[in-house]
Amino acid sequence: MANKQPVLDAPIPGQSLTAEPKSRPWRRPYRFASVDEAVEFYMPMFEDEVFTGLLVEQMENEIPLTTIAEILATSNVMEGNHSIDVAVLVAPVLIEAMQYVADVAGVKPVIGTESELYKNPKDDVELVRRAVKKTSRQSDNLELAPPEEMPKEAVEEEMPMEPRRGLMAPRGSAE
Amino acid sequence: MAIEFAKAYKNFQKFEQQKEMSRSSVDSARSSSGLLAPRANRKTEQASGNSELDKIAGYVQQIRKHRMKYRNGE
Repeated sequence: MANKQPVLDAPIPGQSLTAEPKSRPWRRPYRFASVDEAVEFYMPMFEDEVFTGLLVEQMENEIPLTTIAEILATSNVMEGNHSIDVAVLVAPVLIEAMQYVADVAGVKPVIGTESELYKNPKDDVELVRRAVKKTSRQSDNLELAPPEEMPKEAVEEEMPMEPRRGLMAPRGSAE
Repeated sequence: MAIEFAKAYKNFQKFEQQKEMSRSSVDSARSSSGLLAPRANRKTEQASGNSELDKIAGYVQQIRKHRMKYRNGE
């Protein structure tokens, strides 16, 4: 007989209350309660060269700014720095700051509000352009790959040609 | 979730547009913004600049100014 096991692997009701109070970052008071404090927390990040370098790299990879802002803000919610409400409120400031960084780096970023972009027939060209770019990258990789050496065993030694004999053989080789 | 942030950004852009529209309409009706002006005008003047979104708009404007300066080569 097969054991009957619950199909759903969901938390037991009240499981979240089994941890010690204040043992999780999101169960403590947030470090930054207001939007002003959150902005003061985020703005120095955009002066950090390592951070901006990585940010520009992601923008060059056409990651939407809204996605980057979301990752940045929600990770700080998880760490207990501010609430999710403040995260959503701060998002436009983050996106604007990222656009400034993109201007300085000379990158044209994807903001992430262009979801209706692909409904236009004009923008199918953009999809084709991306596909061509992708395939050309792949072909470049193939060209750059070092040529594989032929294994010595596989090289067949040339067999000495035996003179053809028979009715259909050319006359010179018949004898 | 990123869609929610995209929506939030779009809503913020709408808010900015509405704010500019209301500012221009307030400018046109500034002559009647005294004590004897209709209450609606006084309320809009008091309400502007207090909400969290207004604060965000202020920060965004500051960053945009820097962007414009950078673009103009200053």
